[in-house]
Amino acid sequence: MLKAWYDETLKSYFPDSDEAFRRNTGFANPVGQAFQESMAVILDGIAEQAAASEFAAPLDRVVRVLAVQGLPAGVAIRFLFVLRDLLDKNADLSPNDKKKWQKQLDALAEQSVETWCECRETLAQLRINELRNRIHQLEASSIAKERGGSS
Amino acid sequence: MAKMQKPVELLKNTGYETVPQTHWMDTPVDFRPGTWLFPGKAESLVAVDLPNPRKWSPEDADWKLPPNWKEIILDGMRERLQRYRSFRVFMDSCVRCGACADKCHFYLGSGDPRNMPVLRAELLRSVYLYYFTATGKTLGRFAGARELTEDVIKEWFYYFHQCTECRRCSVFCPYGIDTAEITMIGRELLNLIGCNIDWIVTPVANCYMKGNHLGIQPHGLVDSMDFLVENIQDITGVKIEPTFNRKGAEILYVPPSGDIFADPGTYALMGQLMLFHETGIDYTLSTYASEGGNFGSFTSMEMAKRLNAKIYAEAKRLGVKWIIGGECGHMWRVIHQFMDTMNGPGDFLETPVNPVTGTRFEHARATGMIHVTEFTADLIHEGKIKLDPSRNDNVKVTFHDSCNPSRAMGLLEEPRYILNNVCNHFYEMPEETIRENTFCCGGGSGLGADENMEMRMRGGLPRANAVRYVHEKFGVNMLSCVCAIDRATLPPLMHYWVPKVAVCGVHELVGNALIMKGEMKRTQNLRFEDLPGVEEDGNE
Repeated sequence: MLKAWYDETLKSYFPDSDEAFRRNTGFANPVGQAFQESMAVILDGIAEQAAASEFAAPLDRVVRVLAVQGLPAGVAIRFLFVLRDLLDKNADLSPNDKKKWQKQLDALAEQSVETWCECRETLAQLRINELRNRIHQLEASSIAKERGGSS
Repeated sequence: MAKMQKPVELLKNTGYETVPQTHWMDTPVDFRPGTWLFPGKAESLVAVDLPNPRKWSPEDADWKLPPNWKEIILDGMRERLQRYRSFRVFMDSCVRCGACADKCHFYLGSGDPRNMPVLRAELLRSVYLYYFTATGKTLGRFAGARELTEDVIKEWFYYFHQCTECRRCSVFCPYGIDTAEITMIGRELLNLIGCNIDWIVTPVANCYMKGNHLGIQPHGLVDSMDFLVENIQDITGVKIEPTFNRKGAEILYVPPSGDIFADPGTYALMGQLMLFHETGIDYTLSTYASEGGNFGSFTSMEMAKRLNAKIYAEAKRLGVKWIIGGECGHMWRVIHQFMDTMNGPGDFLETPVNPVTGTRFEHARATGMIHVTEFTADLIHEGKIKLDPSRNDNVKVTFHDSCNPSRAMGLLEEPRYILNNVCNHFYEMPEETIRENTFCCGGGSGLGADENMEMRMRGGLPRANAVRYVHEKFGVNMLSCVCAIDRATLPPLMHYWVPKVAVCGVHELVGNALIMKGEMKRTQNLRFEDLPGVEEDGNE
């Protein structure tokens, strides 16, 4: 299940590079590393019906990558719906299990949208910080000019 | 027989509509906000005689290129093919083996195939093949050749400003192709028709007019230095008196100007000033050669030469014997690989000799210039300074090999030797992400603007991923480096990817650990934070 989810997700988001991202491991493939490690935790958490807080870190790790890929929020959380499709097609699961998993995935989708928004806000804040730093530098230099007596 | 679906039809059934439907040559660039950089301001272009100054935006359909833009580009390519043998060799020798493909941080962070170094080079190579080779002229697209169009120019502008010229790809190329040089040529050509970015052109204009990228005039520099000196006195009780433009000094010290004005670079500069004072070396700074960095090298070789010239000019005017360069990145690529032939020979200088230890830096005989970490590592090695590394016990440090000092000059051991002596908790990031394999900060070569923040975060992901690892495994909370651009670009990168990790220069940690003659009891580090253990002492 993990492999299928990972493969489908890569194909979905990085259609031109999914092979390279699948081939490389570890630090040579930071996107793949983030996805694989986090997806494993998410999948285990769903199977064990873990509390929502258990999903925060792995969801953050995946969504943080997707939030800087130029994707709208709906597309950025699509990886959860990829899993939903896979679970739907899994014949080994009982209808009751499927229902439980799907409910949990709905909650994760909500959580992911929130994380995506936080990431985008952080990006905007970073831009503001950079502008503020630049203004601070300009102010410092204009104070220095005044003290120097000319411009 | 059942009807076989075509690939395009098969893809439609997957529901993933993001798959490009066209060949890369036919896929125009999408100038999405957050990924591209603002164009150069007309007045900055005028200041340094760059052509076609105008108001324009990459989002516009009309880029207001000169009427004969195509002729200018092709003449420019022809001229450079004749002038740089390397350019022609790089264009001809690539066999598209793909060894570089997955080594670029922008590719690893974005998955965009045109960020594979091989394909980024192909953007230029395809035009070279079409106009300058028989196979390309004859076979056209079949040979990978294509005609030069305005869309090609737009593609060059977009992707040559998504390469930080870090040269990681070149480490893996079996033919030794330096893709950074292809980007440099690509940017040179774009500059011929006025397609450049403001984050590069305005610092270049500032540097040309006033000696440093920030455009700070001499009195501003002196005033800012006074401010740092006051801070040092408040922290250590020791008054130091750096001099500017002092003729007859033995050493000229050239730091990057970012370290004079922007935190955390200021702390690194304070550490260097403290060290120079403590060792009593006879040095001076120049208010004109007040910038080690060289954004000219992101524009053209001519511009790199123009901006670099002031270092030797000032060394000659002041009559110094040799030069120490500060903690800067690309400055060292220019110095180590180009300065001697661009503006040398520096034969009016002497081979640098450390006046404290007597060590002769033979490797720097040609340029007469050494990196400040070479100077400091030598002092420590010869036991000439006293250090208390426990003053840095509040930080668990890792080291980011800045691309240019590591790959362009092989400065791998000195910073590590220093770190191991000035702090007790130093941890390396994974082997494949450091030394000559280091990952770029994602904002080098003039890409450290704010309008392309999203792209910077993609490009910086591989570096941040390795920091994240040592943060989680060892509790690392400080990312040290020897580059002013790193000190500007890594803080936002950490803020986004690994928020609990701060950034510092190596000499900030040196300054903290340095025991100075006549210093008062140190209670604060160079950031005016309590030293480890001070709070407990105060409570007793």
